[in-house]
Amino acid sequence: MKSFQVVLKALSDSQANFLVVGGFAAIAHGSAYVTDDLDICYERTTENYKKIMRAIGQFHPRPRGIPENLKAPFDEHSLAQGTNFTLPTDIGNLDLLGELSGVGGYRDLAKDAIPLDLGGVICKVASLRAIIRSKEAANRPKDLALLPELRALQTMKDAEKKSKS
Amino acid sequence: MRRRTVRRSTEKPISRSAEKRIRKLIENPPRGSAIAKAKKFGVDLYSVLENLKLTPAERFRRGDANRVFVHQLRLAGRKAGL
Repeated sequence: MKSFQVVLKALSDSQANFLVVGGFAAIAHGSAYVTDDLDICYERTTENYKKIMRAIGQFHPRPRGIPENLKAPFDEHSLAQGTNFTLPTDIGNLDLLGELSGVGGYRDLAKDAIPLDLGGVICKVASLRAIIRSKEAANRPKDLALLPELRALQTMKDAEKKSKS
Repeated sequence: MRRRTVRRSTEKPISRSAEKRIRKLIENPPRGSAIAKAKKFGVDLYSVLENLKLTPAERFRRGDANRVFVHQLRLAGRKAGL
């Protein structure tokens, strides 16, 4: 199984407008959470759909729930017709999110996103506060279970800032 | 094609003094604070503190390695008929 870094590199190379959100964004901030999918928030423009598909097409994304032997092409038209997608790919599960509950879309998240070096690829990552807001709004048991850790992490980061000043 | 420049992150691992400060908070969290609540909830805050001592890239790589390990465990379980 390949690293998700190849997905980030492909997205970056294609000049797509995207942000890392969800579990891997929380991990990049310091969370000890374990997740098996990479959540990406993408800008909803026709031009960006092409860039996203140019990047991820090589990993053969397919909508979840479709048997692997049935051909269900997922392309820029599919992206235009929906908002949020869960896509098994050759290298793991990729969630493409046009909007996140509680925080909005790419442009809303980009306002306070942080560019982080995730192993040779500089990617915008949703702020910890935005991740917390989205988990609160999602209100599913699995999201709520993560909140105590994320709120504690935010307190630790605030304490870190205090020790700098 | 015009190449975009993305501002390089300044996010670094926490300093020794920040680590000390956070460790104290974990050991004696103010009553009702987020850290106290997380502790009560059963969150391993020392594990979070260890992560803060890494760079974001190292955290991402570790998260990715955990994902691959979980995948291998699932495959092994399936192979064993569990």
